[in-house]
Amino acid sequence: MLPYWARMDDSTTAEDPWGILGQEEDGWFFCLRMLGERYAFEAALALEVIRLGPLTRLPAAPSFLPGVFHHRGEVLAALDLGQLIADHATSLAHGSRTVIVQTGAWKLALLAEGIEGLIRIPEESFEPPPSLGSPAAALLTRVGRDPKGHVSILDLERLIESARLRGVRA
Amino acid sequence: MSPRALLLFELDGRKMAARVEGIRRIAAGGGTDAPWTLQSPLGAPRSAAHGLVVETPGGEKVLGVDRVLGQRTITAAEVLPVPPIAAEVLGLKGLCGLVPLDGELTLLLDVSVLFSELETWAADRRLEGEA
Repeated sequence: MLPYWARMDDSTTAEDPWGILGQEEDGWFFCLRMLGERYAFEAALALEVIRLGPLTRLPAAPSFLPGVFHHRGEVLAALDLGQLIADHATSLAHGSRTVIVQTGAWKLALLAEGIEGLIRIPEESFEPPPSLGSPAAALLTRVGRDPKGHVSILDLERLIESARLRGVRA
Repeated sequence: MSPRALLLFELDGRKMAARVEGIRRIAAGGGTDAPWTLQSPLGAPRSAAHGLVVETPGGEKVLGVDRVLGQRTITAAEVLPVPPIAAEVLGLKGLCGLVPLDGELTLLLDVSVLFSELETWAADRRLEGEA
C-alpha cells in the first residue's frame, strides 16, 4: 500500500486525491513537466504538493538554488529542476505548485513548470535511458511510456548529488 | 528558551540580522579607522551609510551596510537551520540560520565568521573572473 502523502495543498482533506490507495505500489511515479518534456521519479519519494509562497534568496547561491521557504516550522530549499537538467530557469508565478521530496537525508522542494502528479508506468514499457551526451541523460535511470506519452525517469539521488557537486565548484 | 538580541540591518536591498553580542559597535560611514568591507557574498551596500564593527583575529573589521534597522529579541527556538542541501551548496558558514520576522525569512549572520571566509570567497571570484 502506498502511504498517505499525496496532499494537493495545505487545505486538502480528501484522503485519496489520486485514487491510488489500495493499489499496488510498483509502477507508480510522480510526474513533472519541464521544457516540453515529462520527467518522473519514484512516487514514494514525494511527500507533499504545496503552493509555493515567496522564496528567500540566499547569498551567493547558484542559479539552481533560487531560494528557501518556510513550511510547517522548517526551512526548505527549492531546487530549480530546469536549471539542473538543462541550465534553463523555470519561470514560476506566486502560488505555483511544487512538490516536496525526501531522498535519504535530503528534504527539499523541486521547482518545475508543471506538476502532473501520479502516473503509473507499465514495467514492460521501460527502456534504458538515452546514451550520455546531454546533461539530463546522466540524471536518468530509464525512460518509460504511459498513455500520455514518453516519461524520463529521474534518479533523484543523482540529481541532488549533481547539485551538491555544482555547488562545490561554484 | 533564552532570548537572543538581534541587530537588523539592510544590505543590498535586503533585510538581514546578526546577533547583537557579535557586533562591537555601529560606525557611521567612514567613521572608523578599521578597514571597511563593501563586497561580500551578501552583496554590496548601495550607500554604506553604516558599518558593523566586529572583532576578528586580525583586529577590528567593518562590514558596510546600507542602514541599521533596529534591534529585535527572539528566542533560540525561533532560529531555523539552513536547509542541509543549501548549507552544503553555499558553503557559507557565516550564514548561521534563518529567522521568520514580520512574515518573511530573514538571514541570520555571524559577521565575524563571514570575515574569516571573505578571503577564500574573493579568491574564488578572481578565479571565476579569469576563467
